[in-house]
Amino acid sequence: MTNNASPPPLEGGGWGEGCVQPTAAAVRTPPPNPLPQGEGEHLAGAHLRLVIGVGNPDRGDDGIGRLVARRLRDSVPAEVRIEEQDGAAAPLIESLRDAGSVWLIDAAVSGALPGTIRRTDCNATDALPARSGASSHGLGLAEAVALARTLHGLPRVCILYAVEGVTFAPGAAMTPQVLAAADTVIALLAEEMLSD
Amino acid sequence: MDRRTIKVDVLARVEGEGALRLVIEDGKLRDAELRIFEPPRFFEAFLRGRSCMEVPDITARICGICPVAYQMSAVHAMEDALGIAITPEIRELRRLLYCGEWIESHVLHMYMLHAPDFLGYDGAVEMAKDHPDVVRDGLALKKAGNEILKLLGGREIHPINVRVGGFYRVPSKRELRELREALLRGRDASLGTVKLVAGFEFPDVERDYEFVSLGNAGEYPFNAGRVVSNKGLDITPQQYDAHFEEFHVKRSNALHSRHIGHGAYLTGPLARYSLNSALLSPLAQAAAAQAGLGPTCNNPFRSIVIRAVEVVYAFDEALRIIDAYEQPDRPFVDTPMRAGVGYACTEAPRGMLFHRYHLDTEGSVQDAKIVPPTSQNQPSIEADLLDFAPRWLDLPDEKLGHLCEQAIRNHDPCISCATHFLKLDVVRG
Repeated sequence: MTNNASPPPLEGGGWGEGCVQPTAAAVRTPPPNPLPQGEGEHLAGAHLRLVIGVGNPDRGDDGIGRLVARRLRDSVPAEVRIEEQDGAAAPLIESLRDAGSVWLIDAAVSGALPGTIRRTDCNATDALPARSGASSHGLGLAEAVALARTLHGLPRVCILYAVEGVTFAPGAAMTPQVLAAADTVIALLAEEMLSD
Repeated sequence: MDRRTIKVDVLARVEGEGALRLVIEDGKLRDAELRIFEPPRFFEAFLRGRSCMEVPDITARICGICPVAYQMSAVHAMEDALGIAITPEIRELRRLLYCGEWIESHVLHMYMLHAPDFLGYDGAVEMAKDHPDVVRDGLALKKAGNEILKLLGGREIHPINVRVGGFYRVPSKRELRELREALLRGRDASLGTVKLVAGFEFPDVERDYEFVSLGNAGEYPFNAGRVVSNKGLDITPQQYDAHFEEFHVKRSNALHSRHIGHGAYLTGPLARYSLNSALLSPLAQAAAAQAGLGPTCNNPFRSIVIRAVEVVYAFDEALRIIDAYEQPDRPFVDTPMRAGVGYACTEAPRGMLFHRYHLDTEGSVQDAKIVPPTSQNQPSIEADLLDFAPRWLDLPDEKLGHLCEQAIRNHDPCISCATHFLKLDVVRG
């Protein structure tokens, strides 16, 4: 979960860039097959395109990132790698080092309406402020992005789709508005990957 | 009365949620309380009625940093209750798995949580801007430890391959040999870590702790040995309950522990090293000597150096085990059920972890007791503060608060395990 109780400063379109409210118009129906199918061939380095679903599938809305990743598995082109991660910093840093284009999907808490989708360009300065002095339990996505930027630079494309969640209890069902946002995120990702 | 209050609402870079309160009256420290407000987790209660075979996987969920410790204490306690002896090959693989956990847990604490204290940063993110190589080294070392967990445990966090009697699957010689290059690089890098942390500045303080750890096992302890101390204790894990007791203090959701008739005691790297340093590998002993460590260490601020030495040892031991490995015919020994009581202590990265289980004839858990290292160390952590903080009372509140936080981080407390974040509240009067 990306915790941004105080939303980060806007950059250009900023944190609000691409912000999609969960209205009927916003929750678009994804294309039947958003991307050409592939055989799972993986490239490395600058050519690797990577989608990382982040979260815990057993904690309600925190599972949205991994749900999107799972749904994308059968519909992405060969060179797109799909990963599911729990949000720990070290493996995220490694994944960010290895790819040319990365799209991250995670749940967020900022006080917005449930299911609100926010698109953040992680390459924008301070797009995603890291908390200082967090415990290792608190070294999460924002800290991983900050560390990756410092240690080896971020991928050329590094985009976070954050879906506003409200329910994070163990074993909880996903909020309907958050669940509905999954297809919208897939459609947005499909458009973005086709133009990358 | 002159009363001074310093509050640090969130004690950072510890595992879990808690707070510290210091009360200073008329220029003297009156009280130091480590308050743990993370809600209790009731693992011991919901283990009741579960099959003993499920317990290693359930208790692994107590901690994402040291799940292997919970699995190891659980399986050894179950095997004690069932009267099962494991094979030497399984025993070695369990040591190897523990090497992986010590590496990843110690490296995480040293590089991400503790080193920023000594280098003057709020955290690893800030430290990385000026010391990117340090953070890169830490991440690479941690990955080497994670690779052991992934191979032997089935995955890096909350491993799933440990079972009562052994493992569900054991690796082939070839699979283990594939780890060798990464572990050799890791061992070289770990010597650099010892050099790095030995160069930090440490407050010149010592305490006369009662150190408690596993010992007298003829090896640097992971899974086996007696429970020993530097004050004459020498018992089996089965005798633990007769010598140690847990007690509740209102300010903490984690139980405290004391050595009956003696009081506070300390488990963890300082204790383990001070009671077993002669059993480290020659390479680790040489690294300790070069870092200026004697055979014992009573300065808790130097615990980071001992963790670094233990990481050298863990790499060394892992390589020894891999080089001598012969794949056993069976991954586990049979586990016929019987009623009984089983006890075990093993050495989690942050200290000794005691488990006790009562099983019925079907192997169903009737009662469980789990005493994590942080519960055992809480009274000693408070005693550290009561001893050290008076020397720092002339410092500005922010500096005093930071040193107290650092004194807590010396012991790598895993509050999540003990209940299980920390808030610092200093009252000056």
